[in-house]
Amino acid sequence: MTDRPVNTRAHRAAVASFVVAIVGGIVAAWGYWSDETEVWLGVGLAASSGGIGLGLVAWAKYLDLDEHVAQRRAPLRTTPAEREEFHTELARSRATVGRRPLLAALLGGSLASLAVGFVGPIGSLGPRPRGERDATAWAAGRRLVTADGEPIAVDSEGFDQLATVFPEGGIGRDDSQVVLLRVIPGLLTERTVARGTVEGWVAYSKICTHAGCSVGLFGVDSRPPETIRQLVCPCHQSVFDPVDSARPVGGPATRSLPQLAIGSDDEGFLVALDDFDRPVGPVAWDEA
Amino acid sequence: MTDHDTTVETGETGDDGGRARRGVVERSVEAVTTRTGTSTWLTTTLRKVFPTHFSFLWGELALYSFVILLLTGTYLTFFFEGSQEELIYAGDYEPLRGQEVSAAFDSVMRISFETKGGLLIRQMHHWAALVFVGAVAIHMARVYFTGAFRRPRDLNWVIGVALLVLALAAGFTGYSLPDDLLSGTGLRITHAIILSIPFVGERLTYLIFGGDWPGTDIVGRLYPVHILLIPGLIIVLLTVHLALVWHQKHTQFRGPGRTQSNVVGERVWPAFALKSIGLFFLVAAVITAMGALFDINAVWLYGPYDVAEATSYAQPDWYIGFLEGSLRLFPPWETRIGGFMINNIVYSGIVVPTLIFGGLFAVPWIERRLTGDHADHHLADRPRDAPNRTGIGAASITAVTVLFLGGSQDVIAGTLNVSVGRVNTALQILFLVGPPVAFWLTRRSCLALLDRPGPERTERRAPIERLADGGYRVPLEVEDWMDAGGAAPGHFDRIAEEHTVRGTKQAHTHSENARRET
Amino acid sequence: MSRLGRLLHSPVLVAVALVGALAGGVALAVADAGAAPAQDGSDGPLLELGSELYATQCSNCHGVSGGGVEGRGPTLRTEGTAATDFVLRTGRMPLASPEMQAQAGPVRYSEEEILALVAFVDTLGDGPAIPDVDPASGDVARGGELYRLNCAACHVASGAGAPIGGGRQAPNLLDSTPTEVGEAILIGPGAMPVFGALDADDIDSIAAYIETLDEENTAGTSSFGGAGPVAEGLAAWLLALVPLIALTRWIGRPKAGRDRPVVEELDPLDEAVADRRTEPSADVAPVRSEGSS
Repeated sequence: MTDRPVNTRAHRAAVASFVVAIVGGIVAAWGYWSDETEVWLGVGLAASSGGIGLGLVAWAKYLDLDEHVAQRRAPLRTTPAEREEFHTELARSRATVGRRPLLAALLGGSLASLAVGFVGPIGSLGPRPRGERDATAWAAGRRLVTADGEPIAVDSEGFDQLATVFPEGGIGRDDSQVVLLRVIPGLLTERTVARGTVEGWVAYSKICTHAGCSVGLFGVDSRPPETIRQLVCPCHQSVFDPVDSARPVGGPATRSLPQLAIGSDDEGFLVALDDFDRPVGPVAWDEA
Repeated sequence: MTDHDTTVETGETGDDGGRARRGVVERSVEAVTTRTGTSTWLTTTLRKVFPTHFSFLWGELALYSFVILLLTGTYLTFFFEGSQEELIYAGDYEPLRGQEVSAAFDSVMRISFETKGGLLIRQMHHWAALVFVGAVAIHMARVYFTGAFRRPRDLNWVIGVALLVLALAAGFTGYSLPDDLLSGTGLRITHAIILSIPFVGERLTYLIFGGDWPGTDIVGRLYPVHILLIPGLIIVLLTVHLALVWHQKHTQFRGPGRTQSNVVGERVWPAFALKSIGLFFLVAAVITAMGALFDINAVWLYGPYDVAEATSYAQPDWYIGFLEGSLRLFPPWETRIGGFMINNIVYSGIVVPTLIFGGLFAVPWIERRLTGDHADHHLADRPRDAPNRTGIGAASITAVTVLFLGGSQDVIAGTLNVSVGRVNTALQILFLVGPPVAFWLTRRSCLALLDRPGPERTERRAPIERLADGGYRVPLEVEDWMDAGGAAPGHFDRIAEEHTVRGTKQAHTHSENARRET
Repeated sequence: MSRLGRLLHSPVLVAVALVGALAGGVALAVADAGAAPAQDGSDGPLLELGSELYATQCSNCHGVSGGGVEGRGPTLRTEGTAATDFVLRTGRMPLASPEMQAQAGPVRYSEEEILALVAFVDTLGDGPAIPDVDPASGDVARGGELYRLNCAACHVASGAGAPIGGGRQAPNLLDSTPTEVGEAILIGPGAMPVFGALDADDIDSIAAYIETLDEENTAGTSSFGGAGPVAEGLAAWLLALVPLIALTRWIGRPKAGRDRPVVEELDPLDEAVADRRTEPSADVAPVRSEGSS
């Protein structure tokens, strides 16, 4: 082993790398104060670390530090004799401590009791469910309003519309988000109409029954030749049929979006006739 | 004593100074070792040998990305506020000014737009997370395909899979902290999965989220989990993981002079240490470059989480993609039992991940069951040396890859301009058909590769001589290979048995392997 | 009275003057009427051009009088100028075949031709008019809120566009003009619904917000086309992990240890150290039972 590098090319590579590293650090310092901090600070730091890394590896690889050395590997399995020693030692200590079934059982019991004592504080992490899932903010007579609080008039122009609405007085409540559509009335199926629609206006809960995302995707093209009309959830691509009670027609969802029964009030605005008839969104296991 | 002098000389060339500098370093180290009786230990450590195959460095990629995560993460904790308290955004990013956002979101916006260098550190942190899990994955694949998870390293394998789970948890809790639309949507899905758990689902969601969805607690709770609980567990398990590698010594591939009872490679000091430290800086350089040049998780585009909002291309970070694919591809099945419901997402969100990770944890025991091999192994197999194991591995990777593709099925559909439904169906079929095909193809490839003459026949150190009379003299080097050790008796014979139909050449190769493994 | 005076007072002259005045008035009136047709005439050429273009380019699918053709194209009588302007300016029309989804593409008509066709379709019936979108008077922050509530689900938070089921695609918005944005919201082109709940102010705000999406509102770094975590994951693998694996190949040994013979015997120092040690704390050689306790 000499103290001169054996590979001049590699030595030059290491020198060059470290020089780049030094320059990189300076670029980083200057880059911090520039207008495009992220780029120049980052590029400087990257050049600096990269230079150090390349330099170190070049140093190792080419300065005659490639080596093949053998070293003994001791077997890791214990011999029967060693295991016997261990068991003897345990037996000795057991003989000293003594077998006391009563004490052991009581110790076990006390530890279990201590654990039970902690159940309380863990329970404080959250309140007990108090039937919040049984009702939303919707009720008979509640107007449908946009996120700005504006009610929807029944005779608003045009079909194939989409709006996100909340109950008046409950704007922003997660469980009450509703997607309001208007389609050509003749397209709605009987059971959808029976549930409660007004001149082609139909409302469904916006919470997907698969995993709870907002079903914001309404694809509607009623022009020939290909007519599509679907509510799609952007998370896992569950597809619901808006003219047939939002029943699932594709994707992993298994249940339809709960429909909100709507009518019109005296002033010609849309109102809910009732709350949803079942819990919205993905359900717990006891809500079959 | 000559070797001892060599060590000293190495030290001399290592430092670039005169005797004075060297003296200080050596004296400080000595000060510690004299007080702890570890001088011999230190000498031994410096001389410890590590095998040098390049795939053995992939675990270090993971380790160093984790170090970058810790460093950048610590910096970010000085700026991030883990609270869902509502306030009005009044910062530099105009399109969100005046909006109601949570303190967490606001602090991330401040880091990104008002703290000089903050966006760089934040992006480095997020890219490092993506690289970290990727490095863990390829490291795990290397350990699997070389059979390095067998005794006595099955213990370390279990610790490693636990580290993988913790890495996923760290990533998930981390990207949920900014409380933006994308990660909020992900939390909503998590809430739904927990809600669907039989018996305890609803109560559990109330405990975790502090009440009904969305509540005001979850971000504040994920914060200590992400910066204290999970990193703490990772550090502890990582220490045990590395200590086991250190103590049990690394596996090595078969080769001249490499046996079951030795380690051939380079010493810790100076070769291994220099390369390792160099690799750390290179990992840092790559991650820094990614953070400097590429956007990641632009939360200002997603905006603060709002219950009625949604965005398309709503995927989690890539490493959770297998779960996303499971949720998207799983057919709309649910099981109704009286008044009770086993939801669709119980199958796709709980059963499927349990099977995946249960399978991963059980790999050493499955291997023992299928091969009957209970011996210690310190020699690494080439993937082709264990065709069934490699085949199963390829099949599993295929299945999981289809799930990852399923997670991005809308991006695929959008890029290829086909309907999402068609992509779905194709992937569902691929999930069923792909793994068996992959198993069969891989296994056949391994067997075909094994059929080839082994290295002892193709890699010669001494040339074949052509004799004057036209004949050849082949130097006999087979004995160089004879003292390798490793497999349990009968292990390769079993494979040889299976394939004796292919001819004695096959059996010959395998029993040579077996002979090598004394 | 002079001759001129008698002429000026003659009834013939009065009659001629009256007739002359009348004729002048009529002439003026006719001239005005002619001017109005002269204005129609400047529309006239436009409408003529429009009618000509329509007959040759559009009537095949949309009917000779805009009534639509079964299986080919819908009626234009309820379309209005906004829809026509939108499909022409974004290159969605002419559509090569009725089965295709109309997608943005190269614009096939000149400015004059577009104006001509818009004017012509206007005469066919009634529909939403081209909106007057003014992003400058919109509120960017409000626009962002509305965008995320109504638009992001299909068009993606970054404006990149995404598939929406049924083989349809919501397009990328980054190249759309404010007028196009307003028109789309009003008419609901293709599979897009009509967003009747959004008024003119909302449209101004949304247009203003979409303009900011178009700008590089990041630190000048690349964002992979706004495709989100999937693109980021792919980038992490291709741009970070693959180079890192290549680096490990450079640093470590590619061949599985088969490349060189062992140079040294077991190191005498290792042996000496191993023999010397008797404590179980050593990690190189284990303590054999015959030596300990």
